[in-house]
Amino acid sequence: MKILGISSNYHDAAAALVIDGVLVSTATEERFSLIKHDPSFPRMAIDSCLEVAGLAPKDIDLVAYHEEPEVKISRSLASAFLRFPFSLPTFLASMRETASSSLWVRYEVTKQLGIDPQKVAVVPHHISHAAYSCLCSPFPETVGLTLDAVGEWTSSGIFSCRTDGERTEIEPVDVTPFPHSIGLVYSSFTSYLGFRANDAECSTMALAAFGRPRFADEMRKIIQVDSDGAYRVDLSYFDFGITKAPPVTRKLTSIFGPARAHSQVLSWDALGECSPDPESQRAADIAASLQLVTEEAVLGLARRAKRLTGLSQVSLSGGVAMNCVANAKLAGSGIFEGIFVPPDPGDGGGAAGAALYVSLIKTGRRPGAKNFHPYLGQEYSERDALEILNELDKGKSLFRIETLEPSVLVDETARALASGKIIGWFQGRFEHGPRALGNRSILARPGDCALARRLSSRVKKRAAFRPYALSVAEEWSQRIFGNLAGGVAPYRWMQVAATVNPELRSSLRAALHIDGTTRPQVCGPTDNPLFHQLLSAFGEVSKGPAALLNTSFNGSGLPLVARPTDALMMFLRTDMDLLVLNRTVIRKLASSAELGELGLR
Amino acid sequence: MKLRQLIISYVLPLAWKAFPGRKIAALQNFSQVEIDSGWQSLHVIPLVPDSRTKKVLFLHALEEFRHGELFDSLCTRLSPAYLSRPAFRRKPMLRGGGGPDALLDFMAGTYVGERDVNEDFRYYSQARVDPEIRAAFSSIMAEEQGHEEEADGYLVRFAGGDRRKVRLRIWKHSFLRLYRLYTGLLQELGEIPLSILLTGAYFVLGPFLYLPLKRRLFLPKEDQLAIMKAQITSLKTELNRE
Repeated sequence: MKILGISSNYHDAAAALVIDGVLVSTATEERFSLIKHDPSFPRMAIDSCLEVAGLAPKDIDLVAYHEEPEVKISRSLASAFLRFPFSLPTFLASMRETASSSLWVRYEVTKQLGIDPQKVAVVPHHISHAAYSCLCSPFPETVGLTLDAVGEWTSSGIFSCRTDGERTEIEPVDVTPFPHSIGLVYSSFTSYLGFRANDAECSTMALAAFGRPRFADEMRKIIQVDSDGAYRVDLSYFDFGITKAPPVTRKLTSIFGPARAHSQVLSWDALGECSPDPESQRAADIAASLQLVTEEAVLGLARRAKRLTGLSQVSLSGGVAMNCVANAKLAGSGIFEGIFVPPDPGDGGGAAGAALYVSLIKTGRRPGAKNFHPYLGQEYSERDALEILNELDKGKSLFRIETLEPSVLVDETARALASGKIIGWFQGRFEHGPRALGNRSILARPGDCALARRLSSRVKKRAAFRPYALSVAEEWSQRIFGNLAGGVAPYRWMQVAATVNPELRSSLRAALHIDGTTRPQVCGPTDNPLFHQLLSAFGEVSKGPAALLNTSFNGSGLPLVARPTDALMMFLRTDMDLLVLNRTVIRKLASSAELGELGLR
Repeated sequence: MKLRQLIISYVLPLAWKAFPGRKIAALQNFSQVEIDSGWQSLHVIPLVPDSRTKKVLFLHALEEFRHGELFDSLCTRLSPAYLSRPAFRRKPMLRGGGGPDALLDFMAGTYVGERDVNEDFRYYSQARVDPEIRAAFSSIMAEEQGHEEEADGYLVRFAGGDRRKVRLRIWKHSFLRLYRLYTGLLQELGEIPLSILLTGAYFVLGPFLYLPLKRRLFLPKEDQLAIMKAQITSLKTELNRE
């Protein structure tokens, strides 16, 4: 049975294809449209998933949509009336959005794909999340803990996923109803701290490492965690019912001070000592307090989930599950024996979850998760990119282009990395989710802070307070991290933060945060064989840890690249030294200035 | 002087002064339009048969992305807070297979777009708006002029030198642009009565809906859980019936 999963109309629209219970392909629309968090109907992502499987829309047996549009509309309506009669703009905006997209999901599927609307099944939002994490996890039985901003009427949920003989069931056990939502509180503070909400929550999390949680008591009045692990939000601090940014009330600003202007530069540096100005310190202290109380709420829910279900493994999903620091606290808490965080716990994973859940209902059997991996995007030939490069290069010698055997490619790249080059590494099928896991990555040697600064200013164009991540060959995991809480498994996809052994920090400093932690990808030989070889080769060449600074292959404000031409464009527009497109290595021979003069920057 | 030039040169600066939000929204829109133009070129590269055209499309995309970034950074600098990204839907101008006729059509659409943008940018560069906005338009005008000329050259090539065919395609796309402008205007006009209707509904129904909706909003979690269980049962019934 071929089931197409779709998520759209809020953020991170995505498509997924499940064939006979196996997740064959999934991708977010942003990879193709190059609009970050693109919410629109994922037509290009659908085309891509179908192309991977060699199918046409007519071959699809069922379509699974990731939420119930009518239920979502009723919630939008209720929140628009929350501040009646002062919420007219919110009401109008909400009704326009509803009229233009949410109401017409079945019609859109029929119009775009020619599929009978009767074949469209709508799956509740949190079930989509829970099914995605539970059914992709390696655990036969697990708690599904969904930690979201909002989905339909719910903001977080506890689900039990149990298998009885051949039959697997996912049942809701507990919910936290909207508007009580740690996700919404986190997003509101993200906006209050001068970042873009629903996008830059990772900046708030990064900022927290510099602060002291001196506002923790005030924050606990906002997010109130009960002794039984449930939580509620004091809504008098927020204006969720009114369209404004940040959605906070005077009560909040009277305690924490005015909202930070986005133009004010934060004087923090993840790579070294810095002397913060009072405003930067205040922002960091607020972020630290928020992070601390968010972790308390997550741990509270986890304890509650354990008590209500009696299960000993947990699978996380929802946007808050991208908070790798909170995930680390959960992994280290010992509440559960095992923790699983899938590669795309946010709405991008909802498409896969909806399709997997419909597959589960139709067959009763749990899809095989044994071989689950995050490389579920499309694979592309580099032919077009090379044709363009050869044309650009005609008579000018701007680039050196070589196609190499895999072993030579790995050695050459490792040597270039060891000599201090910044490399765009593009291989095979692209990763599912927002993390670069060695198929669409920008790589650099991890001990070189000057190089990381160049990467921040000349390639990624990102703020100095944000740290980079670290990819580590599995053989080095013990030496770098010691015993990881919950074993190595949760650390394979950069979803859980880990503390680096102090003795090795100087050789990995460029990929660590100010507190000595990093967001690791522990890569085994079977996870991503070529990338594992590269990590090992780099360790040998540099005579140090088999580990690399790894950041996502994207420009500022753009999503991760999918196609070779997107990668080539980023390579030319930035100060990257070398681009590896599948088996082809491209080096810049001309200087940035020379390329600029030719219009190639 | 054309009406559009008059509006951009004299009315728009006053409107932007009175409503700074409109200025930011306009800059956001320029950024999106430029990036979209670049994206269209990137999207069509796999469908183009020859390397030289691929290169030209790629360079076009490179420039358009740079222009988009320029407007975006202006927007960030001039805006008091991060704005939510405007809803922008990518719609490939060329979908499916290539073929000379489809490419000719794509290039005609590109030409008409570049021609109009080029004209607008010239007006903006002379209008009495913020100097840095004027400077931004001036700095990219030469490149935009180049895009227009390139598109014209490729149009003739794809049409096999048949100027008449080229003219027909340009007319078609000019008409399509006018039609889209017209329908866009109609949609905006249609939003006025819709907004009035919705405003009426808000205030008339609001007093009656407020309490029930508020009650629904603060439903006890047990009831919320029961609703979710009912949703699941209904989904299972629906799927098992098929």
